[in-house]
Amino acid sequence: MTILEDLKILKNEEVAKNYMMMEIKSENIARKAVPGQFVHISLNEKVNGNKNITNDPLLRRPFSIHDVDVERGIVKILYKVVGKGTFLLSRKRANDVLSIMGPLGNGFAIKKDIAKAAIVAGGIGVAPMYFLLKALLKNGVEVDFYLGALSKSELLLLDEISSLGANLHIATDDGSMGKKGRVIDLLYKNLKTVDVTYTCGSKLMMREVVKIALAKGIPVQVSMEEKMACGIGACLSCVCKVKNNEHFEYKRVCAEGPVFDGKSVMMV
Amino acid sequence: MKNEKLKPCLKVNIGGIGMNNPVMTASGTFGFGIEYSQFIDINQLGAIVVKGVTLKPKEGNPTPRIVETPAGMLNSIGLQNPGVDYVINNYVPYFKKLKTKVIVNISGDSTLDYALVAKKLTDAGGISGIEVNISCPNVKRGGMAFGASAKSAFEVTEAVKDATDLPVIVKLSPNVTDIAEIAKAVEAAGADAVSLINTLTGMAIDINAKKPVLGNVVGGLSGPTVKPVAVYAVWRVYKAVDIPIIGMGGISSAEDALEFILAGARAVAIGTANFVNPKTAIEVIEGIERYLKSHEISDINELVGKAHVF
Ligand SMILES: Cc1cc2nc3c(=O)[nH]c(=O)nc-3n(C[C@H](O)[C@H](O)[C@H](O)COP(=O)(O)OP(=O)(O)OC[C@H]3O[C@@H](n4cnc5c(N)ncnc54)[C@H](O)[C@@H]3O)c2cc1C
Ligand SMILES: Cc1cc2nc3c(=O)[nH]c(=O)nc-3n(C[C@H](O)[C@H](O)[C@H](O)COP(=O)(O)O)c2cc1C
Ligand code: FES
Repeated sequence: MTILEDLKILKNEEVAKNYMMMEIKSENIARKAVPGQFVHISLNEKVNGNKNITNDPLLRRPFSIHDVDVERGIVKILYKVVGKGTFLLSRKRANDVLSIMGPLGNGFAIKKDIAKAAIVAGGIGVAPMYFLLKALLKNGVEVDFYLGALSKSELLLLDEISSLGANLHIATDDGSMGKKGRVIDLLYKNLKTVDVTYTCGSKLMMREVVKIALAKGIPVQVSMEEKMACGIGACLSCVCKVKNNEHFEYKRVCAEGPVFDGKSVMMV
Repeated sequence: MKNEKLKPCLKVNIGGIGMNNPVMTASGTFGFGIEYSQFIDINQLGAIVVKGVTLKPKEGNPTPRIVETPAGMLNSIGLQNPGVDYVINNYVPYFKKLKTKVIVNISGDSTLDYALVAKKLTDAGGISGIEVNISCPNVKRGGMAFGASAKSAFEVTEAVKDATDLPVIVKLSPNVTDIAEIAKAVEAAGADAVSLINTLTGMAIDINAKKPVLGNVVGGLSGPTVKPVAVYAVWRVYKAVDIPIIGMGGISSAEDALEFILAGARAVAIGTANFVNPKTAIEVIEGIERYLKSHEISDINELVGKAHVF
């Protein structure tokens, strides 16, 4: 059962310029969520406490679940302010209430028998990977974490990731930290034999990650992003192409995804 | 609230489909019903209208398929659906278990397609009516082409009427010179009801990429932004035909729904608002009931077209 509730914001703070971390109170979502799933948030305001709403921005906005605290019943999202919805979200304060739906979609598959994994995240794509990393480490998996961003100021969660115990590999486009260049070049040089690779970031990046991993015979799971309306598989807005024999079919990112097998998803 | 005890009657009859209340869901925004059953009790709705179905499976349009606009959205789904046989095998058993009325929205590339789909669905059972989509702006052939002229609208309606004994609702496009003329044509062809409006054709351009945002270039506008256009369409059609009208276009509250009813709609459908708040349809039913009580109206049917005082 998906939760659809008005939930209270506990915290909403800037963690880097234009990047915000939000904590939301929900025992139910915290308990049910698995890494890779997302929540669908409405930014409509109720008019006069009435059922009528402002209607602009109209549609909900999807955000990956960044982390959960099951004991305290907290769900975290990490987001970048890019437009109207995320701007309004960034202005919310503790004790404000948001209509939230979740957890939605199919998360990353974590097979029991894996010993080593690689995570490749670009920019805000790091958001769901932190939750994934925690789950992998809990299962005793050794993780190489490849993180790329435009510059040092947009490299998020460095301390958190290394203090959890992952082997961190960093690349920035401008060379302000880590290796100068693209994270995929770093991956190409360093990717060892791992049991599985997980990736989230731009399509451009993920396409290369898939190529590199598959060339080494490593299965790869990708987290896709498409514009969404319903978020629950009813409207067919959010589809992506998935190979089907010689042809392809459109699969819903919100329902069959957002995580897909890199071997079959087509990133065009 | 003057009369707390008054229990107003919300029952309506749409061309032979008896519904417990006038609130339905709009095709394409409510999947096959089951998706929303996790949030609301679907059986409380007057009827559900499920996603547009075609004879053969349809792949749909390239992405991006939607873009948000001020208080609205453009969509170009392109009628992606698994085909009528799949729907009969996989969803009709579910429809049969529902207490609410299920209406299936159909589309086709030819008049014959429409008739064949209608016939297959009728034979399968478990549904209460067929909504004929002659107004989809998102497919190259068929769809809106049938709804654009009175002659082709008449022909499709007649073909579907011949193929089924279920009530036939024809869904009209606002992208025509005179929607009332098309409504009259489908009434003459035997339509049991009309529903309106489908989406308004529109587009958006990405100024940085210097190209259209939607993969299909054009899409259909829906949501609160289209409501005044839709209310006016219902107003016009109410003057032109005697068959019941299902009004839709931007309804997100009971107040919105009541505007349509006063303009002449006997039932209303909730579309885009389902995405925003899955409980909208239920809240609209409750709100209409409250309104009837406070205005001391015992039967919703008394309100239909009441704004036509001129
Ligand atoms: C499954 C899923 C999970 C997601 N998880 C996260 C997450 O954890 N954190 C997060 O910050 N975002 C996440 N996103 C993206 C997020 O939903 C969008 O950034 C958000 O909807 C933008 O809304 P807006 O109203 O601020 O921007 P809009 O007003 O809709 O768009 C403003 C401008 O920003 C551009 N834009 C939109 N999205 C992005 C983007 N992601 N990056 C750069 N430019 C963009 C648009 O093309 C437009 O030009 C996720 C998306 C999906 C589908
Ligand atoms: C994503 C989406 C898909 C739709 N698919 C269909 C469809 O398959 N058949 C149809 O007749 N109308 C379809 N419509 C039109 C709606 O049923 C409705 O007529 C229109 O959106 C106006 O109502 P609204 O503003 O409440 O959404 C679709 C609309 C949307 C937004
Ligand atoms: S957003 Fe509606 S099907 Fe995915």
